[in-house]
Amino acid sequence: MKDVGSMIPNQYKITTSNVNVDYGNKRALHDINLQIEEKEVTALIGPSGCGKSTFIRCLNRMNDLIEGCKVEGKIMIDEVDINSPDTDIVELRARIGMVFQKPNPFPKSIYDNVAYGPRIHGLAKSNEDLDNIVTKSLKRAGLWNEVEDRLDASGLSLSGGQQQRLCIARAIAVNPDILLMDEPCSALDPIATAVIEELINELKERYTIVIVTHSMQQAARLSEKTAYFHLGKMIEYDITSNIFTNPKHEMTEAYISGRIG
Amino acid sequence: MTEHINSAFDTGLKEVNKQIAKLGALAETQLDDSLTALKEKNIQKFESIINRDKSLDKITADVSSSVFELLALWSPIAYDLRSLLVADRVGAILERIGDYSKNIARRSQVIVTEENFDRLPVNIIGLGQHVQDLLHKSLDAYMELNIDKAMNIWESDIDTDRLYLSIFKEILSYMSENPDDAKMLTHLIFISKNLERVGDYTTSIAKQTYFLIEGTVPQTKRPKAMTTF
Repeated sequence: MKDVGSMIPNQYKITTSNVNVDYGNKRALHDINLQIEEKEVTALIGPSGCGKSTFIRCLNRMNDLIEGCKVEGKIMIDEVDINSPDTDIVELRARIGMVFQKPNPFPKSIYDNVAYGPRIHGLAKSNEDLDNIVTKSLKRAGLWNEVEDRLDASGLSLSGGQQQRLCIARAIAVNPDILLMDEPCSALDPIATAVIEELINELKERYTIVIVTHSMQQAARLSEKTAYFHLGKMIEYDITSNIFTNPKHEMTEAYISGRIG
Repeated sequence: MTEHINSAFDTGLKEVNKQIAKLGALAETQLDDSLTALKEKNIQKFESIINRDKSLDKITADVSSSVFELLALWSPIAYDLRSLLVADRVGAILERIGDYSKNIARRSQVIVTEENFDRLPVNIIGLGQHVQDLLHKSLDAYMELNIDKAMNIWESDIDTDRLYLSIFKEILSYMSENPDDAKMLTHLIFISKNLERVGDYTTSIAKQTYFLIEGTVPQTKRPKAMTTF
């Protein structure tokens, strides 16, 4: 049995210390301490309302957009305290791509969906440069072969699985370090899910990935580490194979095996 | 362990455990009957042991089939997964114990019909009773999920080895003095080896019980005595 605590860590990409989140008077997250390693997939699991999506949204400060939401504690990405007043939030979000449950391409062409981020962040010096970014991003997202002859077609004309890969291409076009994925396959059929899962396996060679999922099998298949959340607390965090073969905490065991906890 | 929210998996698992309990009881009966029949030279009993082995094979196949179906339908994890894997392995072990009992019955048939057979020259029944006790206790440990009982079995295999070795030596010595009885004595060596193997299998049930409860295999090495010389 491997022990997560005894492993010599790679340099932690993300470190959260005593993170608390309140929505008005209601505390949604309690003292979350988590270290996420670089170029690994970390899965967040737990019942609806347990705080896993709230946590993932802390990592790119999306909670800033929610009225009455207060985030306390420290979140370090590399050496940067992301909640520091000195942190440039636009630059931060360029470093952290996000993919949501429902594919949400812009009502624009496939090309423009991917080119949007590099344009607003000024990442392309020329049209040729932008073409290269779009091509590279679509290739990395495993979509290039399916769309190379119709880049002018609307992103909305693609299938659900293709739209989700387009959103991944859009996220990686701004050259992030981290990809946050909030239930990225929950609206997809098993084949489209398998394609996205295979893609995530390839993407982790370049990016640190944090994924929220309700599928135990998906967490087991994809991630190196898994964190189980319950009622705003992180109950257990361990190597994924330990979590799914022999969890230490009874609450984790009850949740992953569908028992009355 | 609390019940599942969706009770269908629990129903399936209970059915598998019921089949294992039935298989365990049959394996115990087969072993007991094979020893009793040898002791009593009961020819009819030998036949019924040999015929009854098919029902152990059938139940074992049913257990495997149920486990396969539950794995495919429910994709169980953690304790649930171990429950099914262990049930399948214990089923296979009990089926093998049934095979050894049948083999004892077959060899005993030959022994008791030998013209010069009068009584067993070694205490093979004693070894059999020791192994019967281990089988009963190992099944109790598994059914009760009792890790202490399981570890006691795990550590007691050395006693089986010693008993077997002592009988083996006795038979060899007897054989050199009574070469005319070589056929019967060779069968007795095989019977005692079968019993020693049943003893080994009881430690396998104990090991599986430990794995089921703890999710790991016992860290201590199983104590063994030398069984050949």
